[in-house]
Amino acid sequence: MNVLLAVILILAAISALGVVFSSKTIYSALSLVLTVALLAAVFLVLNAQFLFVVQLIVYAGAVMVLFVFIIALLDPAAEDRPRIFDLRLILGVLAVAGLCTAVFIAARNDVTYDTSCTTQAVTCMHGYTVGSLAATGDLSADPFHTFGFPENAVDRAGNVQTLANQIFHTYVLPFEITSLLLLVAAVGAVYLTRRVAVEPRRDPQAEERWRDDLVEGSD
Amino acid sequence: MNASTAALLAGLVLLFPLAGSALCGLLGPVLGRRFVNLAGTLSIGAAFAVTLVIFVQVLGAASGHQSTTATLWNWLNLGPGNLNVSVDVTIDQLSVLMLLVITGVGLLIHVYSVGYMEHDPGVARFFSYMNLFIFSMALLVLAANMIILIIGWAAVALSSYLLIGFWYERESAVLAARKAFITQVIGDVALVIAAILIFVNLRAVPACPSNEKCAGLPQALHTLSLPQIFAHAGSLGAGSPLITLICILLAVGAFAKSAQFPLHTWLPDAMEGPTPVSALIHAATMVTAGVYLIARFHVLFALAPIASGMVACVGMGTAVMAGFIALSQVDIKRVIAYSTMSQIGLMIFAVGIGAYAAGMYQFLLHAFFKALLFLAAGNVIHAVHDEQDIREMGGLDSRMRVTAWCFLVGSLALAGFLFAGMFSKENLLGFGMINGPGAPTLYIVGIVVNVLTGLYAFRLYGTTFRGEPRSEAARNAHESKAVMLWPVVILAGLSALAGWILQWPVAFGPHLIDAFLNPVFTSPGGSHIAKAPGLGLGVIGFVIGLTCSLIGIGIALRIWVRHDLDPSHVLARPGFRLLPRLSFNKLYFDEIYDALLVRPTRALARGLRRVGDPVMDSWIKGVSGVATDFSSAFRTIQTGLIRDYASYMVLFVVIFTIAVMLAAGLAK
Amino acid sequence: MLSQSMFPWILLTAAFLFTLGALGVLIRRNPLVVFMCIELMLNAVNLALVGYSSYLNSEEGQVFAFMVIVVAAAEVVVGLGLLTRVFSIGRELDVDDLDEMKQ
Repeated sequence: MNVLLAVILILAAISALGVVFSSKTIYSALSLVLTVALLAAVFLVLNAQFLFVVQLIVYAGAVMVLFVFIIALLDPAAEDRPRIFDLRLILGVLAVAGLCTAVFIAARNDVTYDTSCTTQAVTCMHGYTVGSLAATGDLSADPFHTFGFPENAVDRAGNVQTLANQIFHTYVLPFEITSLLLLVAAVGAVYLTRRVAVEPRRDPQAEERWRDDLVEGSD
Repeated sequence: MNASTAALLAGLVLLFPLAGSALCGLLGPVLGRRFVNLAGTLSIGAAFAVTLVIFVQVLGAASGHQSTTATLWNWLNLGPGNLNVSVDVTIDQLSVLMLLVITGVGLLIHVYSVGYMEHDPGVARFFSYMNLFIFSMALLVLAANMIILIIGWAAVALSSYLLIGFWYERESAVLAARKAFITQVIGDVALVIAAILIFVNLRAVPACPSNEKCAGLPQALHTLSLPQIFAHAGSLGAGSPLITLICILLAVGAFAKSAQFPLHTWLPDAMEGPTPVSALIHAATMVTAGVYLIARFHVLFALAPIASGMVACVGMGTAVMAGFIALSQVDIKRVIAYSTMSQIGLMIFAVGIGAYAAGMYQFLLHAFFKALLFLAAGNVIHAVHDEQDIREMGGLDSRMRVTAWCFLVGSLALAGFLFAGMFSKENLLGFGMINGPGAPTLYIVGIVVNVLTGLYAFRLYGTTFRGEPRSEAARNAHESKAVMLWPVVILAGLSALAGWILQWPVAFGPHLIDAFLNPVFTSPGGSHIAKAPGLGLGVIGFVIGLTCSLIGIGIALRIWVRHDLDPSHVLARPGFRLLPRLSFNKLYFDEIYDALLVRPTRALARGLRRVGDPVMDSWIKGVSGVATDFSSAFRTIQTGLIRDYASYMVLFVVIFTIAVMLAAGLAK
Repeated sequence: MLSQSMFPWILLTAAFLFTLGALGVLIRRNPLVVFMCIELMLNAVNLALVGYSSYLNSEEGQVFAFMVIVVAAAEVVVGLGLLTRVFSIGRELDVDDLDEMKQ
């Protein structure tokens, strides 16, 4: 499992390099598709089955398709030579190096949330608190088998049900708001891409005739 | 009546005109003239109906229970020891009398205005302002808290400004409105200062039985509620400089509102407004607010005899001065305006010497005949096509019979023979015989006023209505239409009969006004009312006063109606030559004020602008210059390139993340 | 689920992808590619979220990642619509050229 994970991660990193440094736009898009798919695989390995599917369907299947279509529509053969000796490039490289180092070191030293708490404090994870499933390891203490999922609990309840319980229960407000967001995005897209209406040609004679008709009709 | 009924009725009286004002103002231009006429008049009619209900209630209440104070709502409460203002109303005989005149005479004038403003395009605005005025005046007389009274006071001044300057395209009207408002602000300031003094100094005098020492100092009351003020007025010190100052300030406010010397210059100019405005505001109601103020604050004035004496002197002095000026004015409305000033002077005199009921009686009757005179004058002005110079009139008595007869009734009422004035003026002059500073000096001045009144009243009548028409317009004049005649006739009837029915100036006969009003001015501690003259003295005074009025009327009739007498040879004599010029130029008050006050202020303003403007501009420009330079410097960041913006973001995200991680790591 | 030894590598990859995306935003001139780099950053964030969720045995990270995907989808729609409009009125697709926000 670990080996598999390592391989997938390395491949994802390489294809990400392809996204950023490809000279042709279409190559970048295809690299991104690959990256997305590889990340989906990572999700699957990390026991997030629902996200695996969603990632493939939405990201790889819709968003990236949209990208490719737009590239095809606008300028498929566009080339883009990034300037090499650019201050921003240096900054960016330094950012990459610095941030990654810091994150790695922090992760190695377990700088993260306190995983041993059993109270409702803010720094605790909910998964440990409600239902005390993880605390006692007793599955029957959690009637929905949804809170806090050690491996066997997820195997019993299923990842989808667990996620669904969170989305529609605790986080139902953000969920509704994101649906509103999608609506706004749809409206925005329609508005941005509409064709500007053409002014109808004014035919003065036609207007005259129409007006005469009206007058005659009112006798 | 109980407090909630009082609150309800008072609220309705206030609500109807206010609603009428809003309706006419907002919907009038949309819904048209007929709606405005209806709404504007009906609202006052409704208010009058409610006032009648209140009147009946007050009449029917048991003696000693005729005064009710109710709270409509608590408006401002800044905490203990600080200002606490509730919208309180007082319903007693005094306020209900004022309300009857305000809404009753107001109703008649509104009906008249329907006809008078028939061709005026701004009729919606007119009725809106008139209703606003009625509301403000009602608020003023109903107020039981000094702050509310001051609010009503200022609102009345505002309405007056709006109405005087109604024809705002006329520069003279605008200037007159401004002058009126500025003069009244002086009164407003005086009132506010008086209120502050009362607020700071009013103390609750603890009950102190005579055989014990009172422990502790009386604590400050911090209230401006009128009943409280009157109950504890003694704590301000009877006859002390403090209460004298307060009463003088109140008196200044009253003088500004009632156009008494020296704050009188605005009233003649206020005739620039439409005639119904002059009738309502500058005859019947607003200018009498000063009289009401002094009457309402009688408790305080009784404790400050110096101030009361000053009030009486100013009142009588103004009466004589105004009468003198009225003799030579040629604008029909100005003559009536100075007559108003003079008659109010008599009212102020009456409340100054403590004859409160007499002063209010004069107010009531004066409202009738002065409104009558103004409305009749309005008919005349309409008939001669907006000519107001009486030298261009004449011979109207055959062409405008009804108006002429009503004007005659009004003039007789004013001059004090047979009708209204005879009763009210002699009534208060009778008090002047034995009360007031240096009695009977002011009484003697008063009977001189009678002569002058008779003179100018019949000069006006004679010149306007009698003789031969002196202009084309006068020749072609014809009577006004019904809607403008009925109010005049009703007022004439009231002027004729009210005096006979209500109160006679001698010890026998009906004394309804005294019976009605005196309880207001009598507190458990004693009456503040001046001593009435006895039967004999009263009859003598009445006869003398009446004779003087008749002398004035007689001379006027001879000079201006029968043309038997010609005063020019009298006036040519050396000592007298100055008099007509002084009279015609209103004793040069406007010029004096202009030189003393207006010019120096303007010069000061010009000087300050020359000196101050560069200084102010420079440092403000300096501040803005610094800001501009700063922003220009920072503007270079905004290159418009997304990549630059993204670079900044990335830079700071990285720094931030690393910093947080380091901090967390260190904390661990 | 995730072991202690592999977790730092997940985070490292996520950080690497993120900064790579940031780098791409900084140096690429074609706005479409810039967009794709932004998507890359979002995916990196998702990776981190799911990684944490797995490591800490809490499903909240996955819920958040779900929201992120939704928002990313919406953003792509609007952004590409804008770019289409920019193209259709004849402007160059070059971020250095589109500097109307300049003061």
